[in-house]
Amino acid sequence: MTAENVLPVGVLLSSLVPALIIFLLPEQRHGTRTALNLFAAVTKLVLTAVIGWGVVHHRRYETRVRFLPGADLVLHADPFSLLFVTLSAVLWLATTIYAVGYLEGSPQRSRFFGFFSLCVASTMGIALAGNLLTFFIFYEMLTLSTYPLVVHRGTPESLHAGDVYLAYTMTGAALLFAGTASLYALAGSVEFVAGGSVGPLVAGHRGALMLIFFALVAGLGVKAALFPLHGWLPLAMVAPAPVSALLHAVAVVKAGAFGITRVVYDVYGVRVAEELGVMRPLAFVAAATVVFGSVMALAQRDLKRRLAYSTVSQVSLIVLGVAIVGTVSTIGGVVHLVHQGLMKITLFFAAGNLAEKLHVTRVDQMRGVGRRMPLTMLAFTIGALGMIGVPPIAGFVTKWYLGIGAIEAGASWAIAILAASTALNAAYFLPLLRDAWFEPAETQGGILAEEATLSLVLPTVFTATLSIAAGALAASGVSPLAWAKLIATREYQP
Amino acid sequence: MRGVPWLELTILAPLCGALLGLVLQRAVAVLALVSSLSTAVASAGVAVLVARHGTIRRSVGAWELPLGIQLRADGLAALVLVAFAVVGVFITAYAMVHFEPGSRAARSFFPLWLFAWTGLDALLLSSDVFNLYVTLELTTLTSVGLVATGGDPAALSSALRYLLFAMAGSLLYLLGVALLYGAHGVLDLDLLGAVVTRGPVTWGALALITCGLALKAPLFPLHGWLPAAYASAPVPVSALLSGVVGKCSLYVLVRIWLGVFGVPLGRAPAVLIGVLGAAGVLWASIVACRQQRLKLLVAYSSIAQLGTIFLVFPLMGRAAFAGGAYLVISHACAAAAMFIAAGTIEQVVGHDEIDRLDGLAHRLPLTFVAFALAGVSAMGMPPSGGFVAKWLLVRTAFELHEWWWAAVILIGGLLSAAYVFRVLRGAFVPAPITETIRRSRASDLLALGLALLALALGLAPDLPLALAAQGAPS
Amino acid sequence: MSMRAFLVLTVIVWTSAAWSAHGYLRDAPNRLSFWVFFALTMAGNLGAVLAPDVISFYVSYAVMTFAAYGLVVHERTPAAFRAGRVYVTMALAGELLLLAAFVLLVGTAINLPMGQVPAAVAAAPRRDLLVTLLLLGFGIKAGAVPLHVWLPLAHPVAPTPASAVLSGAMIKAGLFGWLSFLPLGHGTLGTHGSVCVVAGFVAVFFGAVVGATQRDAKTTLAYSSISQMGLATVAIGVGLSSPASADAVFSAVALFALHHALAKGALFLGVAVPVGASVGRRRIRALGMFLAALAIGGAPFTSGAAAKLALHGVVVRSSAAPTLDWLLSLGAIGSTVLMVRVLALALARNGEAAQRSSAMAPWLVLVLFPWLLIVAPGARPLFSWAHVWSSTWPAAIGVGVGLRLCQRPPARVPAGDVLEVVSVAARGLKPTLARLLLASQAAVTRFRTRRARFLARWTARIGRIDRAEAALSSFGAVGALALFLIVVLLLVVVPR
Repeated sequence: MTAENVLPVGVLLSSLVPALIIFLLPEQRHGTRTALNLFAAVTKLVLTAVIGWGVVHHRRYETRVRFLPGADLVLHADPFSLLFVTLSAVLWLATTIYAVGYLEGSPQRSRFFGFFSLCVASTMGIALAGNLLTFFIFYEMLTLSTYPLVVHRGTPESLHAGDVYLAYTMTGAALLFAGTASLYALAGSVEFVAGGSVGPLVAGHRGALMLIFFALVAGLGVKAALFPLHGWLPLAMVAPAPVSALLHAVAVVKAGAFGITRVVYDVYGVRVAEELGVMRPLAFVAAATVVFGSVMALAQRDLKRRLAYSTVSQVSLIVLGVAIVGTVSTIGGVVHLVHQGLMKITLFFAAGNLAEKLHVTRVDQMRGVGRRMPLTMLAFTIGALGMIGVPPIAGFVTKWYLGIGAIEAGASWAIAILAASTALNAAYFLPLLRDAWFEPAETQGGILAEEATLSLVLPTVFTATLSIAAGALAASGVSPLAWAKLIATREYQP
Repeated sequence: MRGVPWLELTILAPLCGALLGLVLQRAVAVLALVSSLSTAVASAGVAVLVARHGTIRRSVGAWELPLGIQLRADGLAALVLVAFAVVGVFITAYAMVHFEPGSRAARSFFPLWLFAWTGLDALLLSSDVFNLYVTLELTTLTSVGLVATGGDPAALSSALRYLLFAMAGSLLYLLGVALLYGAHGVLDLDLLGAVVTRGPVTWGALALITCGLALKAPLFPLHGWLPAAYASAPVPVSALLSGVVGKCSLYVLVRIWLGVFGVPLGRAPAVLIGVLGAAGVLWASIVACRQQRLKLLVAYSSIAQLGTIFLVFPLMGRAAFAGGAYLVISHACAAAAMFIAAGTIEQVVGHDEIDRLDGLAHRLPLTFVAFALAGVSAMGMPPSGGFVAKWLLVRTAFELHEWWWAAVILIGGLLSAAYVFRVLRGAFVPAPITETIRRSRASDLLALGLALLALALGLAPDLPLALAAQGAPS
Repeated sequence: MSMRAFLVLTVIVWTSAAWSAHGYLRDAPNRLSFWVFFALTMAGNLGAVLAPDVISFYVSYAVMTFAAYGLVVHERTPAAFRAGRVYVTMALAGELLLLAAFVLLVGTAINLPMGQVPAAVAAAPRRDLLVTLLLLGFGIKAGAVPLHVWLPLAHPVAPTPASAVLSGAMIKAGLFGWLSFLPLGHGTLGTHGSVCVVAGFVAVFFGAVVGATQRDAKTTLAYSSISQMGLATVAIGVGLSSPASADAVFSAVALFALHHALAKGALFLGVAVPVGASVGRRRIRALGMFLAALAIGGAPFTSGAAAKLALHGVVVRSSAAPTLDWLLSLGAIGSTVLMVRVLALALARNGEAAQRSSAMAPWLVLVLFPWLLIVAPGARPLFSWAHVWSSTWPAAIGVGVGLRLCQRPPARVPAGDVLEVVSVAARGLKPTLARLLLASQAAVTRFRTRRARFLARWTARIGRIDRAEAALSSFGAVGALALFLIVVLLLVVVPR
């Protein structure tokens, strides 16, 4: 029972225990609940930092518990898990502050924050999972903890969105279960090992392995919103803004993309997957989703729906980067996990502020909004420009690496996809910016009079700053890009 | 530790409780509780003993085989014994809360239940086919009586139907036993297993015994008596029948197949049973989705879970066997919790119609939480015992390259998610705050306890699985 | 050294424009917005010129390009917004082309110092594609025909100081890009070279012709920029075809850029110089504009003449030297015509409204600075009779034609020329597009209805399960099924 054994579980417990406590707290104890939330978020950050420092210095952190014969529960901190854990921990803190402000005066906050913390705990479990079974267990727990968040408002639209969400995720779960169980049946045990562990089995079981791969990707692709499994995402926008932010930037969608990356690199191994011929179809599906998502976003009049389809498109860039076999495209795909999270959460925070303060929910209501809520719109602008790929915001770094990676791997067609994505993103974001900043508006009071409250503005500006920093300081040693390079060189030798 | 007659105690404790309860009618509830706790302790003792020393055999009255009655406790029996005892304690406690103290229902429920428990424990520890018959009969008859304690016409008619079907089943079973005894002259399972060979006698016995037990288990499509019985019986009875007592016939079938019929007759009949079980899973899950009443929904859910357990037959192997055992004990906890939750709802609002449950969660938060957690196990989602069982079964199916069983289990899981969430989604609808009803939280806490138990089974499965593995087939 | 010229021109033009804008926008609304975008664009422009490696270049270039939008739409009129839309669309296209080019260029090195770029391009496996992308990408910024359509819309509609930097400094960034990235002197690209030369001359004449028809000084100036950029394109084309001329091309294009930036900047700012004041001021303004116009027109002893001389030096090394030389001279006629038109339009109107005043000082700097080039060493040939003659006769013809046109102005070609043709065609497409949209929406609705009906049908079918279930609880059914089960079990278990 050393520190190395306990820390991974500690990261998990830092949101699990508060979740359970919050469920038991009476509804009126707002202060206690907020304090508990913040304390938990900070604790998690501290633990993450400790583990991160250790991983950089080649320490091993693993919690292993006997579960079933032939299958242990393993929590393991490698650089890739740390990437996701850090992203989630930082964004959870921001989202908690945001949610406290956003839900001021709403009913059922104990229930909300309880499931909120459970959701984060599940995400931590997914990130730290050391084998496919552990991953699956926490993946399903994520579904169970996010459903109550989606239906939180209890309106007929929310319930319908929850139904669709369940229909998709449960079907995905069945496929993922089938894939996992059959892989375990085939291979005995499926630990996450750099370079994959399935290689020796290719000889006799090509067809089975291909089928299993598609089952796994389909199951994970539901959460990652790959076409045509994305249908739940735009509907889930009826949830309160902190939920959308969490779902899209941190937890659910990222978990799917993270899972696909894990399967390709640590279960199958990228060389084996290439040899099996499954990377091409994956790349095509991802590319199709990139284009499809952006085209659909263009047609949306509701702001959050437009952002939802934008997520569909952007997350598939991660999968595209993973599906194109090459070190540079790996770096691009993995780093986009972080970059897309930062930029998208900024956009959702800003959209939430707009809805809360100015009741702006449609894109044609954005005239002159820049004047009335300058800080929020500045953050929105940064996020939007980042999505388009304007340097020096983080999205540009991704596009650069993905472009180079595509050429390196001989998949130059992907550059056309990237170009199309950039053009379409511009088509549906730039008019919003134009309307917001260059149209007149009547302002009441001073320059910040109509700006959202501090607890809503602060996280928005914070994540926007991180988006710029991740791009502008990408060459420094502490950027997400540096971490992605570390992952690519240390773990994957494609 | 060794010297204490744990096996006998598990049978005697409920028996004494029942007999005393018939006499001391005023204190029957307390007596029942004491008795159930003692039984639980005894069962725990058996489990510890088996865990340490492997299969235990005890000859009653020091009469040896083949004349005497032998009690045998292997891993499976011990695990199920302990699990059922724990659930039984919970249900007894709930019954104390549910029934009016001193009412006629209470006075008939507790003794009947304790007699049923006696039969149950004796059944679990039996090792010969006739003893199995006797204990099965005892359990069945007391179950019929339990269903009838409701007293209303619906309960009585469903109890009667249950009785007729169960009797038919028992007779078929007896016929089969008679065939075997006539042919081989022995009743003990191990001895029979040694002598049984292929031939018309064995085939006939197999067909009769299987069909008879299929009527009682129940196996699709012979399950017609169950929903009405479970829905019209009092809530503690439903909880008992679906969780505990109702598993007896299935257990007997497993024992006889493993002990007697398994090897000589090949896999074909096992596959047939598997097919029927699969059909039951799908059929019952679909019907459950269409139910209007909560108790009927839970009843059909139980049929579906039973169907899944029947899939152990074609998948026979150590892992599948463990999975089936795990499903038995998880479902015991989960079904009991779900019935208790349903009963609480019915008690508070006077109906259990699913479409009218909107917004109730604010008045009954703990109840819905208990139902939700139990539902997690019913759906086979992690972390729960149901998931562990599902994993073991699905993995075995893939190991045998018979993916269709896995497909059935997974589709069943999807359908169960549909009906569980159908109940739960109404919980999120905001409702005007009405007056809070003053009632005891006990039933909620008991349901919650059972549901948490189902969840806990999912967190540390290696211990129970190790127990089940004692003496299990490879 | 020649690259330093770009830095010099950028600094001077931006500084003068900023100084001028201070007065120009003294009481304007939205001036905070103007200054923000002005500062960003300037930062981008400077960064692009000073960038040490490809990524820094791209970052600065992108900031410059996108921030310029704010300058274009500053006036917030419908025309400004339309110009902005066209500008952003084309700028975005340019960014994408450049991104593709840069990504192809750097490869797994991720980044490349600017000095190594031309050699890397020459050595690249897909050199031709790369050069095409670079030519097109920077061509959009430089206003090369037919990628120029944004320029005549954007430059006039911006506030005058912004127009000065747009035409003065920003399009030179395109030239700078060409010079920095193209493999001049590192190999022969005959096809690309010829295309550039042709396109360049097309731009020279097209710009002159269309520009002559304009009724507004700033639009005419915009077309003049297009025409002048055509000359630089020609030089680049020659450089691509004959690697030996690379050095000459560098110095010629750099000198040309410097001269044009300053003179064009002066002309634009001159449009905004206040004339409501004294007669003296008006006279100085007229004189200054005249001097700057002379420079653009290539009159003898001007910086324009120096630039022309340098271009002549480049053209001489190409294979079609005599033809190109003639064309250059003809082009000079066109430039002069445009300058006459500009002077006529700008000076006749008394400048702009009185409140839009701007200081004279910065403008004077721009006017006078180019004349310094005259005294630079290497300007001796300027003073040779041959050169004086070769620059005088086109100018004379041009003045004549220009004055004639002022008396009988021709029909105005709408600014954005080619774009107008495209727009008309697109408008023709609108009903078709609308019909397509309706059709696809109808298809989606049809699909949804069919899916709903399918689900309803199957739900109804499954609903019949209730009756079957009820039937299963009857004694008859159970009995029959039980017997059936026994029979089946026997069948299954008995071997054949």
